[in-house]
Amino acid sequence: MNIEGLITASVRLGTPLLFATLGEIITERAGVLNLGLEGLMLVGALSGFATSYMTGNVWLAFIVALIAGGLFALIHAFMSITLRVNQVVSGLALTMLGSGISGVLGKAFVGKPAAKFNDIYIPGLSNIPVLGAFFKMDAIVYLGYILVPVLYIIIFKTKLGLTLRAVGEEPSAADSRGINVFLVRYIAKGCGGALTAAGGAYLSLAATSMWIENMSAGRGWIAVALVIFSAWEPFKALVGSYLFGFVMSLQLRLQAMGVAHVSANILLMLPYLITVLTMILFSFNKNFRNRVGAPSALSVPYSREEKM
Amino acid sequence: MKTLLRVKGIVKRFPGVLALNGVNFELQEGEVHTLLGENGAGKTTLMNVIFGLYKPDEGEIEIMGKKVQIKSPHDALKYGIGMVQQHFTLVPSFSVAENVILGLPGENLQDAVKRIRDISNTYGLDVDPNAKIWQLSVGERQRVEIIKLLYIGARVVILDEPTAVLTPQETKALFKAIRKMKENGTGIIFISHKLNEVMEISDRVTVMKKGKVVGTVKRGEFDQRKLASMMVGREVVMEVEREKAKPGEVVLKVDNVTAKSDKGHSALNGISLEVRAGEILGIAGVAGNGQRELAEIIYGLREVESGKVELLGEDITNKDVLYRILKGISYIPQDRKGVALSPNLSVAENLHLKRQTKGFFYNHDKVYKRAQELIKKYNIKTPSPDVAVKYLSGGNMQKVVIAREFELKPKLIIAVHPTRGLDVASMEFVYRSLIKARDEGAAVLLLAGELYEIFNLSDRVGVIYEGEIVGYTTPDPTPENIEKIGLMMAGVRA
Ligand SMILES: Nc1ncnc2c1ncn2[C@@H]1O[C@H](COP(=O)(O)OP(=O)(O)O)[C@@H](O)[C@H]1O
Ligand SMILES: [Mg+2]
Repeated sequence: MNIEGLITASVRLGTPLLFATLGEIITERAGVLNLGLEGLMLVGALSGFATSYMTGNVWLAFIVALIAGGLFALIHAFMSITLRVNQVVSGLALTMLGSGISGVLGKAFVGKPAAKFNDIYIPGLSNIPVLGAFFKMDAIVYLGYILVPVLYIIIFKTKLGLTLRAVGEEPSAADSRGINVFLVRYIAKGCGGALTAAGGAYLSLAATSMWIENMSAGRGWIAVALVIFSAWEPFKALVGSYLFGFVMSLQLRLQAMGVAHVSANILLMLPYLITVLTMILFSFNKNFRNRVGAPSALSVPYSREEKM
Repeated sequence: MKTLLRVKGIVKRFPGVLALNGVNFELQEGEVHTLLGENGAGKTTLMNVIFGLYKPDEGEIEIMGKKVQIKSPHDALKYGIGMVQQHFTLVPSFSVAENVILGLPGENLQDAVKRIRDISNTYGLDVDPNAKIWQLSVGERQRVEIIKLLYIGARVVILDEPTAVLTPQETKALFKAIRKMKENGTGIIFISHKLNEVMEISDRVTVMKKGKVVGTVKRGEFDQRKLASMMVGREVVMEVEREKAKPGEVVLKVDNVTAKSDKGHSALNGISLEVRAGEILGIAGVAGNGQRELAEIIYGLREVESGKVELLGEDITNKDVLYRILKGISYIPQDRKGVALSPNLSVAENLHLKRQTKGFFYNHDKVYKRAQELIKKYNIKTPSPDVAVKYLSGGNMQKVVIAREFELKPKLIIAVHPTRGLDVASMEFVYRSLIKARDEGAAVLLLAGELYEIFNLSDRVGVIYEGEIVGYTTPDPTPENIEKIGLMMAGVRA
């Protein structure tokens, strides 16, 4: 087991998680809880694959997946922001809807090959021993590298981020400063949904070049846990995603070597276990509790006239 | 003088409530126009309409003589209207400066910090622009809210019961800032229950009652009596009559107790006191000197570090809350909506909460019936016993608390700021209830901020300072006695 190989596998397996987690971070930062990540990833995976199959253009396919995810997320936005339906319920509905729709529409594409993102070796960087492995990836992985600091800056260093976080923490404060809470939440939902769907598209456009029913295989749920693990911060999301990519690659390797038959279910449980453990550890630290945590208004629909 | 704002015929309905019934109101440049009225009169609703938080069902709003539509706070801010709501609208995890620039295009943080410092200095609103909101006291948070409005140069400033959460010193500072704003031509709408404050700061007073304007009076045309009678529609005798106390055995004994505050500072520093059956011991003191902690160690909500708490001679220092309830301790906490009541449960359920009934199931019909009786007996104004308690006005919520607690026939009642935020009529009700409980033999420990409340109710007066009782006196409202209490509140031992 060489280290370069491990890095490659971890990053490749971690990238769908990274996109899904980043998407959900944006959504939750605005105070909306979306448990429909699994559904969104499947919509992204199928819409991307279908476009790539029909046009052969992977970039177009990727963009279509983004748009499809954004639109699909707006269904949830309408339910949770406008109709103020319970967000757990509407999120679960989105997951079921996503896997149902993609299952039905995807029948036609099962077993068919399509175009795929190729690896691009970054000149210079890819020649570094061992760490060069990080730079022998496909374009979407690089997009992930860029997205993390960009999102970090947007969320924590810009006025836009201030607005986003205010809406998620204390919508009445944002409202009293003339910010349109509903609009901000809709936009955050749309963008977050697009990114999550991109995570799904990675599965069918880069990791493989096929469509398999339910190919997200629980990754959406792992991302939900990773959001908490990452304390709603992009850099920690990166660490968490790749760490879990690493765990998944270990599992594959162990199975391939026939050493042990570690149940996939046990490994799937790991991120949740890690999340629970981190939360327990964090909760011992009072300072930490005060500063980091879920956005205060998470999953609480906003309304001016409804009394609290 | 120009008229900044005029509203005409505003009607606002909520399910089952006509909150505003054709209200007219106006505000001129450089004036403090006070809005006075009992709880539930519709003051906040009117302000929410002006600030664009509520959509009125009927009526018009004019700004500087021009008819406008205010559909959201965004519109209101555009017209120079700013509001400090009763519940602050600040993001706790943000810094002061971040809260101030929130939603303002083209502001940068460094410049904002500087401007906030300038505003702080000009208006005497002391606050550190880089502090996080969660680190600030309530008074400081309010200053941030006001700075938010000054920062955008609001011409109409609405302050919804700003003094309810302030210490006397902070109120003074607030009034200074208000006067400064007036000088610059800003119009201020000030809402308060405290008549002495209203007398001090107002240029005009509009009294509201049940969603209607009773009348508007100018400075020089009103005094406290007149305002009070306009508010309730009859002359109020706030002096509650009562017999001399007949103290019996010692019910509560707190012996040399120390305890920490939520923040981990020492809040009680070896406090000792006794309350007898049939007497009210009033504890005066500046807020934050251990009043809340004292109440909590007696009720069992806070851990005692050292010392002893005894009820009728029994050591209950380490007993849990349920045990103490069963032994006859009742608690009227300061926080009505969070601690005393469960806001989303119905009036009937809240009335039932502390009762110990046999069996596993709960009989809705019985609970409902009993609630109906209590609603009648305590004159609680609610559409039905099934309405969530959060929809009641403050005064009626307090009646629910009192009905529930007093029906348990407590031996000891701990009341913390029992009339805070209440209108005169509800206040009187609370006073009478406490005196009645005393006359029926309960021991009452009253922790209150307002001296008149202490004088009105207490048989003995103790003064708390930095977690200790610094001395006792009589409840006589003579100037000498008031001065004596004042000195003790400042830490001078009697
Ligand atoms: N958002 C709301 N939903 C339902 N009823 C409300 C709401 N806001 C206020 N009310 C009702 O309108 C009346 C006036 O309330 P409010 O304006 O808060 O009074 P005040 O500020 O004078 O104490 C009360 O009966 C109150 O219960
Ligand atoms: Mg009010």
